[in-house]
Amino acid sequence: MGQMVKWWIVLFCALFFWMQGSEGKFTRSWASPSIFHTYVGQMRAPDFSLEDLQGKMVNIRDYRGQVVLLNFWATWCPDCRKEGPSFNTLHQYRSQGFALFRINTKESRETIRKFLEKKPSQFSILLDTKGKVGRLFGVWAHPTTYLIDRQGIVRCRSVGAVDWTDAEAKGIIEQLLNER
Amino acid sequence: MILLQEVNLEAVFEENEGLEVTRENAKELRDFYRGGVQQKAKAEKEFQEKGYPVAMKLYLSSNELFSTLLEYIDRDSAEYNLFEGTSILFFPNLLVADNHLKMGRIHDAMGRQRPAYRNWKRALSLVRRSLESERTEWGLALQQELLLLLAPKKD
Repeated sequence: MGQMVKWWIVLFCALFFWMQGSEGKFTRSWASPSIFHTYVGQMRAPDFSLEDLQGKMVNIRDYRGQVVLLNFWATWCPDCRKEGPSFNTLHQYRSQGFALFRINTKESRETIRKFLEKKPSQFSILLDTKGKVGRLFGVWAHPTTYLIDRQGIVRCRSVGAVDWTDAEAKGIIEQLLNER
Repeated sequence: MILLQEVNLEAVFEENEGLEVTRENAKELRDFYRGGVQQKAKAEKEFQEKGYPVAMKLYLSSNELFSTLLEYIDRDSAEYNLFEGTSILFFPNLLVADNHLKMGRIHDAMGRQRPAYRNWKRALSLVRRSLESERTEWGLALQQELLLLLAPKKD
């Protein structure tokens, strides 16, 4: 009888540890990796100036001291269309020193205006008519977004559509805003 | 054949200026290419100023970044399409070849003939691979230079 109890204990322990292990494996395989890539080191953002949709020149240097989000997009890009409306929820951070620029790659004012009639943006649209600024940042896909801290250091990048109403996305912005 | 004024080292450097890509920050293939080019640009500066030990390190680090990329894409192209209406000069084979050519020259300048020869041999095979995918005046010039360096010396 004692032998039987011992076997049951061994079997129970083995089952317990196996379940622990398998749960760990599932957790790892189901956990989605973050879409955000955090930069290692001090990657200074390149300076640039671009015209906005209204023809006003915007120089990124003038926003030093603020947290800046640069989003490279185009109307032909399905993921850009998908994430576009979620940027409007970031409006709440403006008063805390947050600036957001949606940089359009190589499209005409008319194309963008027509697009915005259906999907309005609360943030400035800058025109990278020759793709020069995209090249400076090494953009190879749309949408690509960079987050720049108050010191002008590029802290984070995402490639692909991001839901900016999501807690992770907002958390990164809030973290940068809290750094003085 | 694509002429030297269209495809050359300076043009490649110019396309990859801007936000720096370090080894730790290279996550996507495009980063590895951009990082490799940026390291090479620094190496060229050192090489011209005869800062050979630093140049050597930078050429090696450039090649390391390119080698990751070459595991996935091993063809050179004068019009590598990134996205709608935007393409780049994409010459990983030729750039690695040029790095080997310069590393060979550094070894040669230091009197190390064997490693110099090995670097030039490697460079030649990469130039040939580049020319198979894209025939450029730049590639042909490198090939010519390497053939001269590898030719048996007459006493």
